[in-house]
Amino acid sequence: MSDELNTQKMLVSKIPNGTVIDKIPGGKSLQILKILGIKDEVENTIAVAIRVNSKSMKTKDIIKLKDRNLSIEELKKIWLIAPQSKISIINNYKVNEQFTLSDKHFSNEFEGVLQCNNPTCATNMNEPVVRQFYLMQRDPILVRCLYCDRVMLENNIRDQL
Amino acid sequence: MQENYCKVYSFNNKEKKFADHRISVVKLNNVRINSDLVQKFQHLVSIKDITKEQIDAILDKALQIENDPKAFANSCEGKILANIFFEPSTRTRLSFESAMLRLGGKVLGFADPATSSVKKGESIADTIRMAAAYSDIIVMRHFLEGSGRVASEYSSVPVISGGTGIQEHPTQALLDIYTIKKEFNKIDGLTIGLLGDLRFGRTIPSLLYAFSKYKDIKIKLYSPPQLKARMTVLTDIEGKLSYQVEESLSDTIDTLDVLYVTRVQKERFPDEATYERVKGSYIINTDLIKKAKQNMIIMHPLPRVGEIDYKVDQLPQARYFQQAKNGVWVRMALLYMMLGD
Ligand SMILES: [Zn+2]
Repeated sequence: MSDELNTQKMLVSKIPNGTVIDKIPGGKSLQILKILGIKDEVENTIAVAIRVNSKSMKTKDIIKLKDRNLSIEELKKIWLIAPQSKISIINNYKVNEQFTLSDKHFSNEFEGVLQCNNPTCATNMNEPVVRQFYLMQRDPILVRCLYCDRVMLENNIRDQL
Repeated sequence: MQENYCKVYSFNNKEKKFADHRISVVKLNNVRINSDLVQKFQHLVSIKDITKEQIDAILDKALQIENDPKAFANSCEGKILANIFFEPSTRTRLSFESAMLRLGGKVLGFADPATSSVKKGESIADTIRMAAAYSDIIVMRHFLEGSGRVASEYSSVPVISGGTGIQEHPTQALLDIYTIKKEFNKIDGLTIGLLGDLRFGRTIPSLLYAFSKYKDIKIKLYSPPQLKARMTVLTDIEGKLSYQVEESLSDTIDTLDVLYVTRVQKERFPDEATYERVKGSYIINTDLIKKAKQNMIIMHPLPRVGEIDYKVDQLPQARYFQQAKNGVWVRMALLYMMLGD
């Protein structure tokens, strides 16, 4: 119990400015850190809590990013792997905006974010096109390239997320 | 991994309508084609992009043209077709050329990318914009999947795919269906066997997508294990078209109305020995056809490389040469409809 208390304490410490990603399915935060390009030489303060007890989802992960705003591209990537994540944008210690990614109405048909893994797909050549995909299924993810019809499995796109 | 994907996918009924969804991507003009209340389509890069009604309209027009080609001899006068072939092709290119000339139009283009600026690395987008400036309609074949969609996005004139990588070959499928319809006066309810390279043959997906728009068709798939139809294509037709993977053609040929044969190419096999071992089971000879229905027809997109014994050409079931001829009528219908006012 005291463990949990400590975690709770750690998590309530507020950031003045930045972004909080809450309700990440337990264990998926590492993948999200990768999406955000966060490696060891990171400059800003980041707090990551992995497998915190949660009322609504058994265990969850939380990421707090000081002085960092997420781009639409980054939000879409997170939405692909963790659509129930709750995003809070913090300004001056106050929650300026808060939303669950799945409420953002990102269409199952989406642009960019990924690269088609078919080596003979025209979008992988020197063409001025914006890649387009269709999310066929989640858990595990199935994504289809709307140019060449290739279906990519979660394994195929993991290194892109 | 493929197996896995299939299993997972079959649990998810909600997303099965995918192939339908894709139709929304297509740009359609609300224009009438002649007397038919059919929407005109701007481009033809996938069979998924057109409806059954549009396919039927194309087949009707093709029949009308075949019955009275003279009536259409000047209908594309003053129009230019650009034949843009990034990959060598004789049949499709000449068939489109013949179609345009018979409609009174003119043809330009290149048949060999080695002689064009494409060799220097020009993109599809740039080549197509150039071709669109010189012509009223473009037929493009390209070795890359997805190339048809790229072309349609950058063209100010209609684009017809003459084949894109291993993805699709929509006009071949249309002429095949025209051939079947002429023979049986229907498509619905037929049992159709597809034999050979079902994995890399680009007409196979187009045919299956087209058949899935009709009623009660039964498909039987015959191929070496290495050349089975792609899982993506099969999941697209799941629930819309009944298909069965068959082991032996000899045992089931008597159930078929149509036997559609495709080339089994040596290059698709890891080694010559595997190819030699496999190819015998996919060769059609007169003994095999004795077991078939009298009114079954044998089709092949041609060229053949030994899959159909020359002796079969004399049998009443052989239709592959008529099939090639039908290509001209169907392509005339397409050019006529897509260039029409
Ligand atoms: Zn692709």
